[in-house]
Amino acid sequence: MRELIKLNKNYKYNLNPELVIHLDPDYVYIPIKKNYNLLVKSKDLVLKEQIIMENNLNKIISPISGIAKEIKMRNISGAEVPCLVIENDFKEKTKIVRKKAKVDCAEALISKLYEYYFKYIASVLETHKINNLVINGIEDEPYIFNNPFILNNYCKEILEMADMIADYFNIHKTIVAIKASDTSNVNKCLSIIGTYPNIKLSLVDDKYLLGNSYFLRENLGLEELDTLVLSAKELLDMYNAIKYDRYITETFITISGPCLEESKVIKVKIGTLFKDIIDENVKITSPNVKYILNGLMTGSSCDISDTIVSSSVKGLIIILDEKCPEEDCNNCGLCYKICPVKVNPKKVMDTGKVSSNCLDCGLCTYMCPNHINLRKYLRGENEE
Amino acid sequence: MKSNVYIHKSNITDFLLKLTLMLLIPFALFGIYKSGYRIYHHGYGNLFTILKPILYVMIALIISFVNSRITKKKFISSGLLSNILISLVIMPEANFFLAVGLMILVNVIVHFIKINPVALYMVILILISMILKNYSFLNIFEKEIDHVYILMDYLLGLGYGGISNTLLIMSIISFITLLCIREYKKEIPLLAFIVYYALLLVKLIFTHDLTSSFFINNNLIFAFIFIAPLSRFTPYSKGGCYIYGVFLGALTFALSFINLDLGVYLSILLLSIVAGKIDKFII
Repeated sequence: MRELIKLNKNYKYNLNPELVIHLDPDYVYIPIKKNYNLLVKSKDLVLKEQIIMENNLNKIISPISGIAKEIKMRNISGAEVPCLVIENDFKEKTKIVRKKAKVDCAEALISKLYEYYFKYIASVLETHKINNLVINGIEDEPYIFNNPFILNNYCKEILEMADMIADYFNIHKTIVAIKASDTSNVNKCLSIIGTYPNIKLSLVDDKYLLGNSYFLRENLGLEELDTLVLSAKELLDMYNAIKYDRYITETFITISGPCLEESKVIKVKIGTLFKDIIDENVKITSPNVKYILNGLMTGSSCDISDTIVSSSVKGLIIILDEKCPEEDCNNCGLCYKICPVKVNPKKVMDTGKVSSNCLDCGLCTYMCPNHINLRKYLRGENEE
Repeated sequence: MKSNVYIHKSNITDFLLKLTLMLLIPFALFGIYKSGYRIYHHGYGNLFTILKPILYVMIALIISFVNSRITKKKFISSGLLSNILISLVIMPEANFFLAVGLMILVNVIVHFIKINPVALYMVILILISMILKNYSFLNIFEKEIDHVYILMDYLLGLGYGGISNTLLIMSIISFITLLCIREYKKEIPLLAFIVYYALLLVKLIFTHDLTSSFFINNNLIFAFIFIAPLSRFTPYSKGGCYIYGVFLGALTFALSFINLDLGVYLSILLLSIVAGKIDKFII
């Protein structure tokens, strides 16, 4: 088993224990992906969950109802992409008829998962004999709290969904994996888990990368082929799809950091501009700050005025804009020693040859005593 | 969007650097006694003789400070450690101005070539001394009087060596301390010692040569512990460090047939040149 480490978490933060709801943005921005046909035009009325883009394989739905406006360039996970702007009418009008069809067998569940775009999970359940189901309630990124928060707030729904999957697919072992240091979730799970005799609680060390499915499975001593790891968020989305016929139009993000009066986990519409979320929900205490999208280990600095929330966004960390000068490499080899997949960051830095094995976990840069931005080289961004 | 990591582990190599500097303080203090006060006390020197060991350290500090100002880098750095090490290993009777001038020259050279500065300094100094026919690691007092040392004398720092690197007991304590630090490239000195002494044992079996300077040599011990593992000039992979250590021990032994003191520094110098190649070979 690989040697994983606990990260230094030196920033002080004040986390609001309540989930904050921000589901009424003035505008949402829907990225227009390549090879997708745009089905609405400017000034069209768009309904919630209406298909607004599609190709042969996928469909993209609107998270709100409102009026389609112009197309603007916005930033999604580092890339500038054209986005369809939809102005919210705050009516949440939809044409979707909630069927309330009962999902009572494995086939029905798989069909529903395909219908609601859980294609990967559906295909795994369909093609593999799964013996272990792991509910991942861990968040690796320091100062991002989504999964533990979701588990805490929707524990019953998540366990019910996991129990349903385990029941329909004859899964022998279902485990809720949470960090031993996450006492709030330990207590929450212990109070509910008795209702589900087949679900067991497993406490893992507070070590970086144990939130990653691969390392979590390895840590729990489970085989790769017959184990399915699902995050608390995935299970909640599946629950909403199966029970209430809801598409994924909302997500959870953490806004935290030492420069905030209060850090929060916020439920937002996909496509909301970060600036709108920040202006309405958090108070920044320092004037000179920088915004780090998706966390301090694997994130990137961003401009909140043009960055939008996508389904893969985990949150935003707000820290002081301090310079951290890089020094020359001193050959300590810590970057190479720490790499969990044995990529050689120094070699990548020296040769410029990017390794396909890199997980982009950021551990090499975290360990570097000379603060060399090795992630930049590993991601092939050194020429920018 | 700029990808980076915005938190960092507390700087353990900085700790190693500071610890090493702390461990060198007793050497410098003992140098004042052995290569300064003791000589003066026996009537072989003047006030300058007492101050010489500490003067070298002071000059090393000044050069490092100026260097850090010019390059806009931290004062407490590997450059400072190298200069302090140089100030401790200088031959006791080396020409003062030559020693200082060479220290400045080496500081300039290492800006352009990635090479172990301490080893480079000592190789040049030893070679110049050999050419000038004043090569010796004995101080003026030791030159005048015949000594027969027992192990305790060596442990208490009375053996021959650089101006301030002879305190063997402190070398041993330092080595044990540094072995406990994960980031110290312990593979290098450990393997170098094992290989060197193993080869020496083989030589002993064949030649029955019991010359003590081959067994307890302050320059060799000090260099293996402090100079050879200087991070910047050694391989970064574990396998590379193993090879480096083995070659260091073997090469030092081989070169000891010419001159052990020169051999140890020349071995470190040559291996520091090929350190990068060793990594490429291993990985």
